[in-house]
Order: sequence, then C-alpha cells, then structure tokens
Amino acid sequence: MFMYQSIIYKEWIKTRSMIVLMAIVFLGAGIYSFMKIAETGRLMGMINYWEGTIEKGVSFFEYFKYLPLLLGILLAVTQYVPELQFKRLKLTLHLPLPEKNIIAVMLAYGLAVELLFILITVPLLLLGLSFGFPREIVWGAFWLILPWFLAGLAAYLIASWICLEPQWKQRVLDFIPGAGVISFFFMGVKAGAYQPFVIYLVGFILLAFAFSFYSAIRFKEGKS
Amino acid sequence: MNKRIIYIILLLFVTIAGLWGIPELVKTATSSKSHYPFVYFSSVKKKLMFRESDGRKNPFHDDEGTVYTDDEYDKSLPLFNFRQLTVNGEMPDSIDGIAIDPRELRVKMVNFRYAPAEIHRPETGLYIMYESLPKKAKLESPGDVFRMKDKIEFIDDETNTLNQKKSELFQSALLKAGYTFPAQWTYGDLNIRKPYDEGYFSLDAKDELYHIKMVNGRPFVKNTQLDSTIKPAYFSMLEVADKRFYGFLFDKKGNVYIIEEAGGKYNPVQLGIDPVNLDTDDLMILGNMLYWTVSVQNESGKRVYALGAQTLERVRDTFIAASPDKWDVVAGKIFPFYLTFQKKTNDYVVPQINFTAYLALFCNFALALLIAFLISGKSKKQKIFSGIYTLVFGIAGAVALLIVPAPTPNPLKGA
Repeated sequence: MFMYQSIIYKEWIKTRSMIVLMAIVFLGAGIYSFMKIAETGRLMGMINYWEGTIEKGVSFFEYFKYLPLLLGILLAVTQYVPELQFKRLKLTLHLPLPEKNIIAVMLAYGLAVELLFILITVPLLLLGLSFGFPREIVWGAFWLILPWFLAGLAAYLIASWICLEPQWKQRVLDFIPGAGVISFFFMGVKAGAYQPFVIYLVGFILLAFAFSFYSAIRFKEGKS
Repeated sequence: MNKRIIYIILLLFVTIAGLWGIPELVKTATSSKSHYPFVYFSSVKKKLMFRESDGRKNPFHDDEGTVYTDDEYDKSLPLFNFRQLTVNGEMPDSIDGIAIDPRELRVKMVNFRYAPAEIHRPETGLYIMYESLPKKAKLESPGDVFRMKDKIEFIDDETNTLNQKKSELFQSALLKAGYTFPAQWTYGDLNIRKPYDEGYFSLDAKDELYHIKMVNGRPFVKNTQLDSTIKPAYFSMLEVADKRFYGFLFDKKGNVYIIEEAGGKYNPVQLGIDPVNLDTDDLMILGNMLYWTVSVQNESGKRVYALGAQTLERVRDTFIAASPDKWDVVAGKIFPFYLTFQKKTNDYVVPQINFTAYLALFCNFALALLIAFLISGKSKKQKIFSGIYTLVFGIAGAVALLIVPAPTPNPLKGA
C-alpha cells in the first residue's frame, strides 16, 4: 500500500505546479464567464437574454470549450514526459509491483485530477447559471459543456498513450487517429445534440484506458 | 489485460476513426452538390418555368423544353416579377379575367420552407406567449416564458420563479377547453419580429390539436376539432399578410394541409401534392394570388407541383432527378460502408453506418490480399488475421493495421 502512496505522491510532485496553474485558469474562466453573462443580462435585459437563448440556442461558457482538453494534455505531458527522459520509466517499472498496476495507478491519478476539475467546475457553473435562468436553459448548458469536459478525459488518456510510446515515428502515427477521435467531442452542434452520442463518447474513454498499457509494453520490450 | 486484447482494442479504435475520417476526406475532395433549377409556375403560360443555375447558355425554359430569353422569362412570370414589370410598364392589368390589384398581389404572397432538421433538433422546451392583440403595432416582450409538458407554467424573468397567478389562469383555461396533459408537442413562431401573433398549436395527450394564445392578457384556448382521420405530426406557423390561414399541418401519413381561419373555426385544406416524408424531404412553397408552386426535394430529386391558390388542387407537376454525386460513385467503388455522425436532415449527433454498394467489396478483397501477402507480419496466423480484418473493414482496417504495431512475444509481466 505504501508503494502505491509513493507513486501517487511522485505524480503529485510532478504535476502540482501545473494543477495549481490550471485551477487558477479555470477559476478565472469561470469568473469571467459569469461577468459576461451578468453584463449581457444587464445590457439586453434578462427576458431578451432568455428569449435569445430559447430561439438561437444556449451559448454560455465558451471560454471553457478547450480548457478540459488542455488540462488533459498538460497532465499527460507533465506526468509522462519526465518518465521518458533518460528512460526513467524503466526505474519506475522496476518497483516491486506488477508493472500493469504501476501504470494503472499513474493513469488513475491523472484521471482523478481531471475528474476532480470536472466535478467541481460543472456543478458550480450550472449552479451559478440556475440563479438567473430557468431549469431548461441550465439543462441545455449542461448538455453543451458535457462533451467538452468528457474530451478532457479522452485527451488525457490519448495523450498518455502517445507520451508513453517509445518511438517518435509511432507517436506521430498514434496522434492521427487520436486527434480524429478527439474531434468527435467538438462537432460544433446545438446544446443537447450530443444526447444520443454521449454513451459512445464514454465508451471511447473506457477503451482508451487500455492504450497506455500497450505503449508501456512496447517500452518494456525495448522499442526505441 | 492481455497484450493481444489491447492490440485488438487499439485496432478497432483506429479503424473507427478511419471509417469516419478517410471517407470524410474523400467526400470533401469529390462531393458535387446537385444544382436544381429554380422552378415557378407561370400564370400566363400555365407551365412550370425553369431557371437553371449551372452556367448553361440558355438557362430559361419551361417543363416542355421550350427555351426563352431573359425578357420572355420575366414576362411569363408576372406575379413573381411584378416589381420589374411594373417599372417597365409591362405588368398586365388582368390574368384570366382576374384583375391584378397590387395590394392584393402583396397580401396573397406565401413564402414557406420546411427542413427535416426542424423536427430532429434539441429544443429547450420553453416558449414565449406574446399578446395577440397588442396595443402597439409592434409585438412586445411579455416579461416571462412558459413551459408546457405536464402542465403550463409561466416563469417570471425578474425573479426566475413561477408566476403562479398566470400559470393557474392558463392551466384552468386549458383544462376547461378539454386539453389533456401531458402535451405531445407545441409549435409556434417565437420570433418577436413577426408581423402578428397567433400563439401556438399544441397536440394534447388524446391527439387533439388546440390553438392557444393570449388575447388582452387572457388565455384563448380552442380545440381545432379536426377530422379524426387527420393524425397531426407537426405544425409550422406562418404569418401570411391576408391572415387566410394559420400555418401548415403535416399529418402522420405525410399529407400537408393549411389550417384556414373560417369564421372562428379551423378548416384544414389539403395540398394537392403526394405525401411527403417529414424525416427526409425539404419543402418550399412560393405562392401568389393565383397559383402556389410547391417544391419537394430529397436525395432522389426534386418534384415540383403547381396548385390553384384557392382550392390547392394540383394543376401541373414535374420531376427533376438528382444528378449523380461524384462522391456516391467513388464511395460505391471503394467504401462498402462508412461511418457518419451528422446528417443534413438531423441536428443530433447520431452514429450511423452507411452501406454503399457490394461492388466496393472487391476493393476490400484486393486490399486484403495485398495486406496479407505483401505487407503484414511474417507469421501465417498474422497474415490470415490481417487479411480477414482488411476484408471486413476495408481501407480503414488496412490503415489501422499499418498504424498499430502488431504485438511481439514477451508480454509485459502480469499484463
């Protein structure tokens, strides 16, 4: 158990500066989003704002569109790029634990951080919105931002897969389908349009959990 | 997890990306949209007049192939080009003995469009009830919005809370008129810039269509008492200048009606067109005081009808087949199936496997041989697997096999 705690602590040491930085960025984006919403409400009048939203669709929190994605990529980079430098991962995988468990704990750490950001940010954004908007519009906002936040989880897993891959040529090849699948989360559609598709996005995320193990296997096999 | 299982998952992941991404790229490079001509019924020649938009030398002709000059074309459509003809002093005083009054000409104009995405898109479920008898010429914002599913509820914009009094007033009016909740659907025009307001048409739980609006701050609710053979599927409100009708009703069989205002009653008049498919067909109606031109367009082509403006009975019709899209030809040769997530007729993101032609299986077969014998790993088992995988998934499968490195022995300990 101590060993796992040590791995988690190591991941925290590697990522803490970035996490603090991203927390500040998320907070800033949240405060600015609500300032903009309040300003639009004041200038247009709330009823016109409601009417515009009902007629043209929900468009709050645009500043958050790529933030979870960025967080996912930065998390993977800060966690795994140091491991790949001078092949430190070799040392990590030599700990007296099954290698698959070591990789799983590292991935779980990253996913937990990303999930923590999601579970704090999404309810706070929706709660804030619910003070000024009817529940249907709040619900619409949820459906709009959900794929963006899920993209953060997918981006983390795909970026981890690419970062852990030992060969540069293979990293470039992995990037192409990875970027293609990430684009599934950003199809630029109306709030709610993703309702029938979210289950598939979750499926992609679950599958993507396995990818990093393949990169680690290749690393272990000495591919470089 | 077993190394081979992860390999298969990765292969499938890259294949799915390829099944969508590769055809999408080919489509962008090859797609050629059908250019349909603009078609309008000539009240003078009693023929459907075409204006082609594909850059051909003689773009103006009728449905019998007679070619016209620009000037002849304009003159054959006086009710469409009346502004130009009036300026030129060429506007006829009457057509078929009916005097052409400029005011009547304007108020009888109908311009309506329907696209399948209208019924396949996410809605907020909130509506705005304008005052239908406003004191000023312009419509004004009511200061609240309403929801209507299990009951009608008005939400005040200042407090973001229920307006109990107004909600109860409308709820009791609806119940008194016989409306049965939950509502199946409610359609109206939410745009404040519309010329006048007629509220909403709503289908109740018993398939009865109700007209709901607000008059002098009071609820107006009326059962349209449509014939029980008409099963409403969709209603699209249209504000026409002469207030002859409320809008277009589509029933479940695909028949299209206007709901005429008939002395406080609601009179459905069926359009003399073949049933339309609400899920696939685009509809465009351009009407004038004598005839309506109705265009119904889908993947197979565009059918155009001319209807008498009063009876809405069919006078003439024609069909323009869709020109083959280069993309369809290419897809039919190299992709037996491909993946899409979005469609023109649907605003939702829905994964869909599109099958093209069996002929494309030859492409898969040839590719499978190539992959199995020339490119893939040395072991016989690997060759057979790669061959079968490419045979099933085609180009996307082959690309996935090339991208994802095949596993070698000595798996990760414990993985």
